[in-house]
Amino acid sequence: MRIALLEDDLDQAALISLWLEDADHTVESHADATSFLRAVRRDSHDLYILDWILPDLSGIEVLEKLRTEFDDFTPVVIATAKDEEQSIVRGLEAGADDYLVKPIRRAELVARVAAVLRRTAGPAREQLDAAPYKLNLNDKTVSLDRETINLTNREFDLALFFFRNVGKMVSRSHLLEAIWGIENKAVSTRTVDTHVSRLRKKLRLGEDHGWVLSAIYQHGYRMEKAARH
Amino acid sequence: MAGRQDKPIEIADPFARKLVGKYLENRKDDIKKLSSALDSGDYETMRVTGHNLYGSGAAYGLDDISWIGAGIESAAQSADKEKLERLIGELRDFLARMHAI
Repeated sequence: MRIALLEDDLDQAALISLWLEDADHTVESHADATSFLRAVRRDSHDLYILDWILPDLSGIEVLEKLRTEFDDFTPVVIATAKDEEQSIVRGLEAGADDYLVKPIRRAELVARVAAVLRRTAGPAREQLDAAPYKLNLNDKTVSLDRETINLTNREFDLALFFFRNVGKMVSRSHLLEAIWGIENKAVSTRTVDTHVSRLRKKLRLGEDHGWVLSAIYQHGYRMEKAARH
Repeated sequence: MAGRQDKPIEIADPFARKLVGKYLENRKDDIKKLSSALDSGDYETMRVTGHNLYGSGAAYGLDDISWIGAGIESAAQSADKEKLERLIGELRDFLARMHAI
């Protein structure tokens, strides 16, 4: 999964990044709130880890901005040395999904990140319903009003990713990592656009079927329910 | 977190082992920063530095650094100059010991 880390202590950021990368996540690290907020506006992630005490804004102020100004509900784990009960409560009330008290230990961090991602992904299902579409995860097929639509594996994975991230802007680079795998440097963002365009046509996405897949200029895509549905 | 480390320090985490040399080098800068802040009575800088030492030390398997950091943070909050001097000295000694290993 793709994680954005906000940690001003570069030694802690380096170690946390190594731990998470070893657990098969990709980590983008930011040392101040301004750079972090700029990055999350132009790119998408599966999880944020926020330190509390930072040189510019506090982690809580960042969290409040995400939830109220940016309408960004990406799961958040606060990682801080502030261990008083009132701080923990304040962090959770501001919208954090978990709270980790420093000094951080590797196994606990990895387990908590996995738990938050599991919780926010919802239960593992064999089928995803996005009426009138049904996505069968076992045989990787999509049907529209009971008519099976012929998709390649890659197109199915792309469709599933969009339907699992309804309402959220997903960047092209995030799609490249999630669908093509980060090691696949040969694939360009143009490939993403081509696949999305083909997927739109095959699924006949649009007002008539209740779902719109919009291109967000210079950012990526967003799957949304059509306004009249 | 366990108490002060009296036994030889062994860093179990392979990732911390990989980065610990640079981590200890960077703590020398903390000594300079703390000493200068102590001279100028900048308790906020000492508090933040102590706070970061507390957060990072034990993650690297160096519990002593976390303990010293917690002490510095608390002493800075109460502007206890004498205690700060002693703790900065402890940090300096600890780093010297680590570099000697």
